[in-house]
Amino acid sequence: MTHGLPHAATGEHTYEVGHLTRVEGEGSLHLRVVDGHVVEARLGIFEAPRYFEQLVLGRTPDEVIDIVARICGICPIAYQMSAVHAFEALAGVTIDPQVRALRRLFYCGEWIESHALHVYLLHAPDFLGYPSAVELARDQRTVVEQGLALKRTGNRLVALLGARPIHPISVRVGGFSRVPSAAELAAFRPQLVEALWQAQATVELVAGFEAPDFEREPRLVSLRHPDEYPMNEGRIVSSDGLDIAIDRWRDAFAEDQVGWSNALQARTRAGEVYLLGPSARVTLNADRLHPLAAAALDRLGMAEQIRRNPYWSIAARAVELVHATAEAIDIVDAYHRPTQPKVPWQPRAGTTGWATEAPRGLLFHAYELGADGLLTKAQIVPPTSQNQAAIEADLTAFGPSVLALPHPEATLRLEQLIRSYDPCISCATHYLDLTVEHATQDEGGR
Amino acid sequence: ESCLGPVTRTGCGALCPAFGRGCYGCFGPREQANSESLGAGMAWHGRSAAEIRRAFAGMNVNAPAFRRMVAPVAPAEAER
Repeated sequence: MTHGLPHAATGEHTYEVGHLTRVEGEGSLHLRVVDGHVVEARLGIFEAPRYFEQLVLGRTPDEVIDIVARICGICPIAYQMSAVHAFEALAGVTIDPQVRALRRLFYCGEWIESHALHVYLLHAPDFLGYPSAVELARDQRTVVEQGLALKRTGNRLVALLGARPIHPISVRVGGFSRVPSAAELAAFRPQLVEALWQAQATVELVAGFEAPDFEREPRLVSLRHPDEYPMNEGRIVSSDGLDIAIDRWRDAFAEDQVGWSNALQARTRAGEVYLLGPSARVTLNADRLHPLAAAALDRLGMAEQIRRNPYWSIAARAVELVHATAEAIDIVDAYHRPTQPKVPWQPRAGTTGWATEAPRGLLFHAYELGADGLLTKAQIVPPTSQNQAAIEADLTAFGPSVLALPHPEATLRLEQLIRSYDPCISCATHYLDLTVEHATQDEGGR
Repeated sequence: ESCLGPVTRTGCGALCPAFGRGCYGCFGPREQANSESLGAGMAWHGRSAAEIRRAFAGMNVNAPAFRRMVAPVAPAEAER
């Protein structure tokens, strides 16, 4: 036990990070400790509200798909996928099996670029003791270059199907506005094979990392499909037995507003916190991983650490990088161009909802369409909104273990914990900043 | 399908038409964009007034060349 740090053991103290770094968007951390106990943990989200749920009203489904892509520069496909599947469910559209496969391939591209970004540029510096990927590149250039190469392949795959790497434009109700030829996909295959090697090297890299010893029993939620690793279809399941249809999110969960966040927080209807994302998916769907990804998870031997320790989300992302690259290759190999890129459809009035697996976890959309085929209501529930309360609960549980450390070191550890969830704050406000508050009990009592 | 290509700033390589769909003007209006002429063309091709307004009311709706197609007369003037 470290001595000479009475400031943390007794009295009231606060730990604050005004602007969290290496997270997507603008947020803060505020932790208040009284006599060694965390009495308040807040993930403050101060990024301005973005009003997307209002911007889409009065629009056609295809216009909505173009608009919601703008919610995120890292995961635009996730927003397009949840929207397009919701609209197709309402209109009763059955898509071509090859179009279905292309949508999975599209999502593979997004998972690759998003996970490579987080593993190498945002998260790895914490494990390797660097303040940023730029500092890391000075000493370990090949590591950073490998991450950038993987990310580039993911972005190129998105551009191949969506015309550009960010805010792609090809997703339409019924399919795509354009589908690639088999030759175009075949020409991309060598890049995917190289990406698969890089993904496997990523698993080796993270296997050598050491994470803080912090374990808890989380409630994990993800989609689950009868025979595929979950992306666009399946049922919503949890580690404690929830199993509901993909459009019934609102039966089990609800959003609530808190004063310190411009993002709504979601909890279960019983008020419990839950966690989404790669660790939840790998834990709840290990038996659906691509054989190469399953082998990588086996070699790592870290399934239990991934489930219990949030820092090991980096291992889950590495395993999913293997999955996404390997599945992408399989899809390319089995592809033949569908006769038409999209099937005709007629708008129908009514309410609809759908969830898909964004890189950061389950993304639920609900819409209501009027008789004129225009949107009358929208609810968009991003993964980071849903993870906020679980992150705050974990900060409360993890906080005491770092209070013996000098204040700046403790603050850094808390910030690192937040980064391990890969929060996408812009999505959620569609903001992040850390303060830890210490005061004497006297002050605290006032 | 409506296409804002003729009145939109170049630079994307005409991605949307190349991908079999109409341009939605995400690069904003080009210089001297003749939005009125394009709007008349859309109407001639059977687009309703509401559809034409929605086409111009995208993420660059506050650019004057697009805005005047959405709200040709300021609300305050309309009341006079």
